[in-house]
Amino acid sequence: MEQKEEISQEVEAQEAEPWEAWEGKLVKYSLLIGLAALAVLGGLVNVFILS
Amino acid sequence: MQTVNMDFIHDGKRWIARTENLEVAAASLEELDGRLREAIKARCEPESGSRVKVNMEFDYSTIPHWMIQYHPYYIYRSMEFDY
Amino acid sequence: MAQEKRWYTGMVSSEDWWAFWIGLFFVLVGILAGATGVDLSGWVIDFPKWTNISNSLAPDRTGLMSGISSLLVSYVIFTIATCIGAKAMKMDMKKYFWSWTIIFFLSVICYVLSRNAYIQATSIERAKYGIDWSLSIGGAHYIVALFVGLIIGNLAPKKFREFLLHGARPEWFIKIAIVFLGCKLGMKVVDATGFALELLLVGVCATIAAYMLFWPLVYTFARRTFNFSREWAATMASGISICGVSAAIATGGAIRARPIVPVMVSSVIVVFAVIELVVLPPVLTYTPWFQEPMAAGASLGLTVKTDGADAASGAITDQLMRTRALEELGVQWEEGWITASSVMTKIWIDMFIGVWALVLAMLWLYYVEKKPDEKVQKMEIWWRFPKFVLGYFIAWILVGVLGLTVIGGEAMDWGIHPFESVARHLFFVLTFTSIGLVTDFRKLAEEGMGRLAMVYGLSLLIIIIPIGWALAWIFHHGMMPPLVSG
Repeated sequence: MEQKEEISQEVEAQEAEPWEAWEGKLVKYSLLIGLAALAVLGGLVNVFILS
Repeated sequence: MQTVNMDFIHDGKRWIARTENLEVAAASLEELDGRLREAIKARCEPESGSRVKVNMEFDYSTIPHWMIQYHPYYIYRSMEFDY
Repeated sequence: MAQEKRWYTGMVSSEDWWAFWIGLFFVLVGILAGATGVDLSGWVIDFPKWTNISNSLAPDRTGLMSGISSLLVSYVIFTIATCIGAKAMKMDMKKYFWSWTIIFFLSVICYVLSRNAYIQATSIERAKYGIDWSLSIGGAHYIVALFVGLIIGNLAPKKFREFLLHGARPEWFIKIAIVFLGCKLGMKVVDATGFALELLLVGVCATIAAYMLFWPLVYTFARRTFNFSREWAATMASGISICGVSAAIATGGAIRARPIVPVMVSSVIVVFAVIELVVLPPVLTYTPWFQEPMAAGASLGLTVKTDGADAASGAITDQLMRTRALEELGVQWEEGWITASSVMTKIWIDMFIGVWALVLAMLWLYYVEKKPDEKVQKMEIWWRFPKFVLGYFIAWILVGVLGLTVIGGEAMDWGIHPFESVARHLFFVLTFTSIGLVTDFRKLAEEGMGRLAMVYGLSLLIIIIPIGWALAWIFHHGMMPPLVSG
């Protein structure tokens, strides 16, 4: 229980690492893939299944 | 290639890897791996140029019981130490 | 002591595999019944709507036995099946057996009482039951079971609450029910419509887009707005964007986070999943989403985390929307399709977690933390793959192929219906009760949880729900549940 409280407090106190370039790339490429998937798959689904 | 299978846990402060006759603890996994490499060298005396494979499975029973139904395991590490 | 992990590790020791074994066993019993004409499946207990309580229990096959006998036979058979699984998983058998028994009969009581015709009968059914008014609350049994579970899980004495957790296995029960649901899609193949396949295809498309949009946005939000460290942000982003607790554990493991991280994130996930489960079904039913029932179902798969809460919210929405459609439009949609839509998107999300965990593990170990001694195992995709999904697809294919060929559609329906329909509903109710029991609202009051809960709640409201709704509509608009024939 004590340990749990200590760790709960750690959530408040934890120090974040600075944002790094690779994180920006990860986010950017994920979003690009997501948007591309949305455009391509959305288009295909609307033309071939939902229309 | 020699293989060592170990359990490991986190006690809130340290990672602890253990097998029947070996226990190593450290604050970070990086540190743990370094200590483990040395402990295996001392305990198993691997030949120079040999490779030891270490499999480490996180002891899932230390995760709250209600969570276990959601996913089959937490961490399984596979490492190879060259001596 | 640890052993080297193999492809078959967990086949007899994990809940996921035991959902596969138990679900598929009963599906095979149903198929065998259909193939041979021997009534191996008609014993399953059903809970018809009633005005006289003596009519509140009945076996699926009318006249096979009395309602009470059917209840007891169902209890004994499902108890044996789950106890075998519990034993193999090395649970405390005595505690499991008694807590399962309490949860089973508690669920039965909730189910029976809320199937009263004054509560559930639609206006069209009133004459059939000889009543002149009713509340027309479709799915009241789910809601009642959930609230009874929540009351006990939050207000009962601590010892009793903790004791019941031994048998409260919402994920296990819902995964068994989802394997049964696979039969429903198989029967749709037998009916020669491409609807089930279309649902499968649009589900995977929506999921790919959702995955790749949700995760980076939530990760950035947690890191940059709330200043969380990477291990917290990544675990939380997966938990909220992907498949809840399962994703939090998989991601925490992949990035080698301390176990406390997924444990705390998971505590928040289950509480929010219940809030969504209560709020979203009525919101979807009584807004313009009612015009798009299949998209509404899919939206739940994309926004409600944990399989149990997703399927449960799909089931409530299914009941509420079908009741409204019957009352206001005079059309009778087939039961289970809105639920199937919510489950389909969720199943794809579940399947991708292994791939995403592998990607994150490679990124973290080889690029971020640079651990040259450690090798990422490609087998992680398989180890983290939800095995009950295999049961769902095998049930679908077996019922579809055998129903179309050697057994025939009518015989297959006769054999499989008790599991595909009534046993599935029973396991849904068990899931609702169990979700209530495992959801502890006090967790949010614990120190440190406030910040996690705030990031989680805001991510849901700002990112997950708006984008999830948009994607569900884009990929499912215009799809309608099949109408009841005849």
